[in-house]
Amino acid sequence: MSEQENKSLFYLAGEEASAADGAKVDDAKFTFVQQDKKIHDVKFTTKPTTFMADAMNRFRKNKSSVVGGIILGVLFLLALILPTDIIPYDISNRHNYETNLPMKLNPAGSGFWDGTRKYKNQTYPFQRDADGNTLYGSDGKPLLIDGSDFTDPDVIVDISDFKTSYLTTAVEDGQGGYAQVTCKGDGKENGDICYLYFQPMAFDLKNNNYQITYSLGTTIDSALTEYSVLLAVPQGTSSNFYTLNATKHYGTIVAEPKPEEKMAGAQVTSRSDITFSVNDLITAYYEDSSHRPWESITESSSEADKNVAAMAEKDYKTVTSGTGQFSLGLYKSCGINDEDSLFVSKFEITGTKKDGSALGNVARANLRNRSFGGENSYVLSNGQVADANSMVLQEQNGSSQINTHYWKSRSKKRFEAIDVQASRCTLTVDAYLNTYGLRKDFEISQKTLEDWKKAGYVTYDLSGKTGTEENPYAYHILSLKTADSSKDDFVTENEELAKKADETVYVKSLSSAVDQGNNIYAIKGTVLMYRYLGYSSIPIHIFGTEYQGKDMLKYVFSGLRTSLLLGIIVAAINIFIGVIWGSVSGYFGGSVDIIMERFTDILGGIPWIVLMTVLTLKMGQTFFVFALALCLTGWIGTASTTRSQFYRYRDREYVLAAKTLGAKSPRLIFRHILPNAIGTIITRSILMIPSVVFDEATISYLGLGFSNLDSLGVILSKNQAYLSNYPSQLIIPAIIISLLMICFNLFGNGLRDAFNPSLKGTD
Amino acid sequence: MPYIVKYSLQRIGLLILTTFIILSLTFFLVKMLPDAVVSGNEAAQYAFWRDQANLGYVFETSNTIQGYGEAVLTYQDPSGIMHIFYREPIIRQYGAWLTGIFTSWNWGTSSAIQPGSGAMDIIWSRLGPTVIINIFAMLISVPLGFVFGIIAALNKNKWPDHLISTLVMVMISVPSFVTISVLMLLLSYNTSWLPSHWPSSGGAGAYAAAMVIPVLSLVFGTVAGFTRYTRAELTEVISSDFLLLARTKGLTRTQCIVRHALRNSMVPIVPMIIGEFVGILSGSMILEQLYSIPGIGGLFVNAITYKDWNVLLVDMAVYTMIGLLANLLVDLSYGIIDPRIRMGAKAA
Repeated sequence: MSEQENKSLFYLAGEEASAADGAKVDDAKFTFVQQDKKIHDVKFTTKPTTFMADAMNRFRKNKSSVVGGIILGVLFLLALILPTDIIPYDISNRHNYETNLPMKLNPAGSGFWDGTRKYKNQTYPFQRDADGNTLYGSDGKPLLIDGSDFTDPDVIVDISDFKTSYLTTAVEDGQGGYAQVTCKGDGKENGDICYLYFQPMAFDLKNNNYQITYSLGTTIDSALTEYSVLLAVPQGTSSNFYTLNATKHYGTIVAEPKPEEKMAGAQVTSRSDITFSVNDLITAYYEDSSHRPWESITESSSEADKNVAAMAEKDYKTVTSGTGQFSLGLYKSCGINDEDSLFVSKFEITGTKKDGSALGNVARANLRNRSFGGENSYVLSNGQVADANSMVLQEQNGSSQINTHYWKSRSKKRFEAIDVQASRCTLTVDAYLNTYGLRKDFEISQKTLEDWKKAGYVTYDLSGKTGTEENPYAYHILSLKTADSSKDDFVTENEELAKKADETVYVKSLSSAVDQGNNIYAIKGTVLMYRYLGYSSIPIHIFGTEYQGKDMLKYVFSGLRTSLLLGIIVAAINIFIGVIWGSVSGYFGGSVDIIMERFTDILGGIPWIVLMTVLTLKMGQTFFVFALALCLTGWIGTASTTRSQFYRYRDREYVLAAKTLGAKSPRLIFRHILPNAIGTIITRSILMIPSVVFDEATISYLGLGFSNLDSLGVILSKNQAYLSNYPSQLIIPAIIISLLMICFNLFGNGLRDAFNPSLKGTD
Repeated sequence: MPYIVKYSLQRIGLLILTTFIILSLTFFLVKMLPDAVVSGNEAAQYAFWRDQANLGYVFETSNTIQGYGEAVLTYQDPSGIMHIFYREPIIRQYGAWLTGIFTSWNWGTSSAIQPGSGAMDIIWSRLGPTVIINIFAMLISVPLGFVFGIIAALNKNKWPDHLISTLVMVMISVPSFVTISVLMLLLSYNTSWLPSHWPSSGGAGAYAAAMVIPVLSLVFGTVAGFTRYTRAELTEVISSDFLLLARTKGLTRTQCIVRHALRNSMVPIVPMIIGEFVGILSGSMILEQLYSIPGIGGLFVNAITYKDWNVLLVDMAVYTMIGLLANLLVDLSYGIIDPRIRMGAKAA
């Protein structure tokens, strides 16, 4: 039969199908193609297909499995290629200077995958003049502020998102805010008390009248019910703080709009119309007879009482005589278990002369606005005032000024500034330039210097021993030169030479020679880091580096390689054992089967995690132990599948026929029955690899991962700690392992469907 | 005796035997590990080993003895008397262990996690969070899994099926520690909507908020499992002959699905729910560690870290029993739900 006729047969069959759909076909087309033909001795022109080829054919039709298989192939290939020297970075040692670099594929500043990192709420990094314009240096680059974390202005790629932040702590460049003094009850008896007061100022009550105006804040849930205006007479006894109750001066406390980023839970309300006279305060105070101890002094009074009374009388006379030094401030006490805060934003003393003419501000602390050197800042003597931010800063720094004419807190539990305003911006920093670029004050250790000397890079002279009494072992490095005399000085403070030598220098300028005791010497200088670290140009890490400074791309794929290797070895061993065990058990049946089944029942009943834990704890966390632990129970599944296949086929007639013809058990098992299970076994072995990878990752998360190898699981569990700060370090291996799992499942399911079409769709 | 009772008794007997053998094996394995590390000062250590001596794991002498290996503790009490503890041979410890369990339900004492407390008490106190999180995960994932599975089965080979099947494939493949990490990153670190770890104290609100992430990360996997299973069962039932008969007899498609297909597909699904519930109890181990949930999974990890072998042993026993119990429950429930199925019966 010719090929032509064969085709026409199919053609007709096709026609017939369309005829069934109702189309009319010409009767003449119906002919008996094989009429009068002898077909029994015609050879098949088609090739017989094998089971495997047929399965492959079916597999190819399953698009998703093919895609899964391709991705899997790519991952395998990458796991083979990438951990080699193709990526020139070392992943077996720590690299302390290159840790946590972001991912970089594009040049810095392109905005995507560019190796930059954003730092929010940062101080403006450059110097500015009074008008707020950035200052530039002679090289055209902006000048960095003093004490900047950066060496090179180029590191800052972008500055954006300028805004005024409200901070809850005092900062160098902040201003304004409330001064918050918190007193706290000790839970036993009396609560604590806190004061905030001006340092002593001279008042002239004889000729002038003074008014106090102040603004207070409070937390939303505790109204200001118990505070007092404080009058202190500093020349008095140790208990020289006399408080004057100001409760009568309460008015309505008006809520102030809440600034955007005000401290959580501390809504501040304030009022500023609380005004009363200093003169009234003082007179009112001494009108109370309990404040006039000298009147009740008798001959029999103790010496101490007499002293106190004498002091008080002296104070009283000072006050009534009209001139004297007083401190004025605010006072607050809290209950046994309370924690109350006093928020102060403004305290002002104004005066008028007795004749009615204005005296202006006597002292003014407008804590919400900085008022240094402003028009109304202060008048009286050298009584200075500051904003809350600088007050707190000065106290924190232990500045002496605080003890002269600044506000001061006393008996405080906490003294801080809240609502401090500071100009903040978001910096986009080129992390690569920051890491690999210039680094100032970098200390080159003695060891490095000696290594360089040995390698012939440098020569140096330590003959200038300058031992002093304090430091008898001090050395002065007289000269440090490159060994090659044609090159410029290795270390030079000469800018010109440094520029010329840029290609070869590691150390751009020597800022200081560090002399240390015990013959240890090192030099400090501005170092071009990538040269120092041994690179010829700034490295590019596509996936960034992890917390130990290892290149993520190489590291992750080398981990993948370890995991896959473990998976493949374990799968191979498990299949081998499982097939033999299942075959024997299924083929022989009977009591052999029962005994073998009970054994697997018990072994399979131990949770693998228990087995794994005990084994790794006992024998160490090595590759061999892992493989052993995973093999101990891993073969049971394969064994039971093989066993059921054997149960299905061992009583078939063809097996009986083979047996009758004299085939021995091994031949029956391996030639006649086992091939029936080959599809299932292949599928199983493919799907076992991801499950081994998964189990290995799980055990790593339990802290029992490889101790000397970095598998995918070990990388994942180690990098878990950096999830909040450097999520990419966890996300990259997580994506790889997820991709691996998905592709293995797709591929395995496709294989299973191909080998056993009746299972299709059950997943 | 009805068949089901006989079969159940058989299985329970076998379960007890298997548990016994496995736990015995585990005991020997664990006892071969290096010594438990006892936290606390010398007096506390002495108290611990004193207790262990009472339980029969070590014995106390006042002189050094050769041939028993290194002493686990040498302690001189304030009155100057020496207390030296040596380990009993493992087989004697085993005997003491069994006696302790069978006579007084004493599973040993914690050496490091809560020194001095009974290991079983620690397990009981930690069981709460684990079980609660799993119950919530189950309550959410069972109905969701059903709904998605039914949608996929009814729209077989149309886009809803393809979409659901793809998602199921992804969800099943992605490991739970990846899911929880991503959830923590998105819901906690990046947005600070939810806490990033289990609160050590707080009201019901704080715990409810803390439960969202672990429950969600459990739900993803289980929903995918249920969906896949429901879909497979339902498609099989839908394509069966009796459903065709129901249609030919005049029932609408809805009637067919609701009255016949769904009911019949429930038969293998209900046992699966039981199995899955017990299954995810043991599956949440890493999750508990990552989210610092004070459950038995986190306890397992802690016990390993602090080498608290007594607690580890009990924890392992709990997990072993959970696994075996799950198998038993699934097999038994098959028979109860569908009388046609005779598990373990000889093939006709």
